[in-house]
Amino acid sequence: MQRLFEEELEQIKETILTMAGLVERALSDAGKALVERDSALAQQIIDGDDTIDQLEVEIDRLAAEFIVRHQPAASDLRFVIVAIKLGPELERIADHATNIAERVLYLNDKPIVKPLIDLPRMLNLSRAMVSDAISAYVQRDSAKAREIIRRDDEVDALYVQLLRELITFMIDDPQTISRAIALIFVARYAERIGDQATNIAEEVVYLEEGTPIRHQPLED
Amino acid sequence: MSSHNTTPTVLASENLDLYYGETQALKKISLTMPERKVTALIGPSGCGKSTYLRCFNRMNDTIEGVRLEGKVLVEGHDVNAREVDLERLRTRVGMVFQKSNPFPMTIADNITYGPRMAGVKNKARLEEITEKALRQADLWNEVKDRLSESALGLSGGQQQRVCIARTLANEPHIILLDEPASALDPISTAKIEETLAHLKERYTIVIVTHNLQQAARVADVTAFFMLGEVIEFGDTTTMFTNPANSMTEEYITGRFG
Repeated sequence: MQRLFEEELEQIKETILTMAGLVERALSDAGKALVERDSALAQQIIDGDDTIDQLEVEIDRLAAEFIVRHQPAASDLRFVIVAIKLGPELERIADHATNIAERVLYLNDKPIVKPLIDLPRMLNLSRAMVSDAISAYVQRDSAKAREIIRRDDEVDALYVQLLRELITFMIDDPQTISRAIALIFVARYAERIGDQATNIAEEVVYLEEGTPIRHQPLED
Repeated sequence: MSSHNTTPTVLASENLDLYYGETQALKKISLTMPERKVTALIGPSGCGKSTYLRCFNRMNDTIEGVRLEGKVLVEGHDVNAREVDLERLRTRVGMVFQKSNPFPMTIADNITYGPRMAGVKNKARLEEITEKALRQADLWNEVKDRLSESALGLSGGQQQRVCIARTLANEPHIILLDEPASALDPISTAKIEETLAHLKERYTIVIVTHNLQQAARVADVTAFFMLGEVIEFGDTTTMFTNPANSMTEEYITGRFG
């Protein structure tokens, strides 16, 4: 019985990691498709989203089954609660990668507005937050998770800066408006991905420390 | 109505040690049970949880070689004090056991046994007591037409609720239950648990259970015992989601015990 219990916990974790791996891949591909104007890669991201959606459903199914069979308590219970919450966070991040890919397809047959520097940086930062949040989860490292939460400010600052810059472009040349708006959307998705990485990190802290830290100011 | 008032603590122990001969079964137990709440005592076999429960109505008196140090307090009074009237104590502190033990007599006579012993003779009064106790034990609707039949003809779950009703007929303030549902099927167990949820509005309840899910379902606070010591005591939900002690964690996640 105990072995089955451990095996089933491991299976939930493996499924989350598989999903996280695909999500990280979609994010790095999204950045690459944007910078290299690669429409085929963008299409690949859009096509891959269904697989990620199915894994979210699978995590819910495994978690429900585990609760029914074992009525987990304490850290096992928190593990399952967190698994059920990570699924939708990862799924939403994948959706953002898909949305970015759609904007890339729109932009690729049009002239560039400006050389892209801050936007790829922003995407890189938020992608790294997601990767690190997942490894904090795997390593059950709540100190690392807290550090990730602090990094979200940097992403937010870049977003504000980009917005300001693209507004200047639009005022200067109204011809750029539709393309600039597409870029603003991409920046917005990157900003949301940082928020979602923060949510994952908060769940890791809950998993390890047992107390929720959502909706609370971080103590320094 | 507030639980934090100035009335004496309903149920508590202070530095309680208990020995069976040379063996120490309880070590320095200091707990205060909350009033009109359900407290669960959990822990592996032989951890002292039943022994501790039995201290509150002095059921350990019947066991030879038992020696106590420290205090067991019921409504502010030391139950081991010389002037304590044992019958009066056991009226106030009712007890229900693992194996249902209805007396070989009618359902009604089972319920009124205590009051009759205490001198109640008025028939109408006894009927009133019977109905009230059976209603509180959620059994009235099932047995109201067969009160003069033998209690031994009832199902196991019903017999256990007769025992609860018999305890309630004595108008106790405190109810102790020692594994009251461990011999029952899931439906009877659910009924007993539901009964407890109603009873705690009026009574302070302490239940020993080896069914952790039962503790999680019925208890407001839980005490985890191991080797005669209280390892952890506190809010049940907190204990089952985020226990403070690693031994509690290991026990409730089924990693030992």
